[in-house]
Amino acid sequence: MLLRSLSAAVVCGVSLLLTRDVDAQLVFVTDQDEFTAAIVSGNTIELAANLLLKSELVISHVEHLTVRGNGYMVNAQNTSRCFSISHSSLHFQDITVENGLARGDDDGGGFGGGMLVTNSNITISGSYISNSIATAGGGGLALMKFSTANLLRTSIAGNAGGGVYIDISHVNMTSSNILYNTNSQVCPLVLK
Amino acid sequence: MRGQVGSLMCDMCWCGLFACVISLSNLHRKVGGGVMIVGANVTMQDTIVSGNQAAMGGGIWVESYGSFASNLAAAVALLNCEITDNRAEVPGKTNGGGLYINQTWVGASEPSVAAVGCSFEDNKSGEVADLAVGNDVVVGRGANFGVFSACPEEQFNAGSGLLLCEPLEACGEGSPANLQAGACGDCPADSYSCCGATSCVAGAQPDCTSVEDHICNLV
Repeated sequence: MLLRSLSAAVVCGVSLLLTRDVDAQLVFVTDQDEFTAAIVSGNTIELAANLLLKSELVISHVEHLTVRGNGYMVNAQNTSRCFSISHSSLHFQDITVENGLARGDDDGGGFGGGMLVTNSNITISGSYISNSIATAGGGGLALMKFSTANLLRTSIAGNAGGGVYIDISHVNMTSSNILYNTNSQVCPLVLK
Repeated sequence: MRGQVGSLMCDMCWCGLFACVISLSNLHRKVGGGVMIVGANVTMQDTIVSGNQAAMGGGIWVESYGSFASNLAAAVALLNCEITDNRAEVPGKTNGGGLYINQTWVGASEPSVAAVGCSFEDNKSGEVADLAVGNDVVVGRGANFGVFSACPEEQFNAGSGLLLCEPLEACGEGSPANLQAGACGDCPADSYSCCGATSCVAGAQPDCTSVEDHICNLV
């Protein structure tokens, strides 16, 4: 990462880019405020505890961000969406995203209860997106507006409002499961 | 956009599913219990669609997208997939328990589905638990559906969605057959492939047995 940033800085002569990537670091987080502060291009965020959200986590205009769940969950407690991601590239690993809620209609905020991804490039591996609700579509995950996604060994399960909604985007899923999703407004019971 | 349809909804997208399981979802009163595909290019390989339920197209629903502004055909390739035990719940009709390919609407291109080496078994339509025609697959007016056996040995599907078996040798020297993509590939620098090969080998190109067939002489 450092080498790439140095090269980029030499080529482009943009000191800001150099500063941001040199500052890229491994950050352990235990709550939402720490997570939000760690959303910086090039960072690797390591969850060291379950995160109980007070509001949705917004990731926007960030490059090469990695989020390692280490088996911990991000839980929106059925009060908001878990993640809203736009104009970014990032990689989620070994994370559970659950109890998200996206309320609204087709033109509003009703897509992607667990995770809404727009204009972004995302990889999700070894993860669960479950027990989330979207009133418009994509209870677990919505990939929209020319996003690119790779899902590897990931389960989208027990969501309401459908499991995955893909709109004008490019998606590959490998060795992944989409299970027990429904179009009701109540998440089905899922044992995992 | 259509909300709350399909456990997996592909709306005007490019989607590849490899070795996935789409199962046990219930899209009550909607269509496409397992997967809903609208004006999208989708390849599903070695994937199981099983135990899903919807009003119509319990396992998979496919339709093209057409309007005065745009026209996107649905092109779906199912390769070695299992479409089993899905159910279309509307009673008294044959509504495609396994797969429903919707009719072609005015202004839309024909939707096409090619199933290669797939099994459609034990899908049910309505309240009747039998296997009459229409329980497994319904093909609407103007839609295209082809069921094919897998290509024979030493051949591969080179048809990008539709079954077009070609001998491996058709790709020629330096261009291995990509079995997953259904196309001939290119070898990176400092590697080669013999005529009829499915992968590249690092190193220099060995001699060919003849100029005409370009088959590598590996002896």
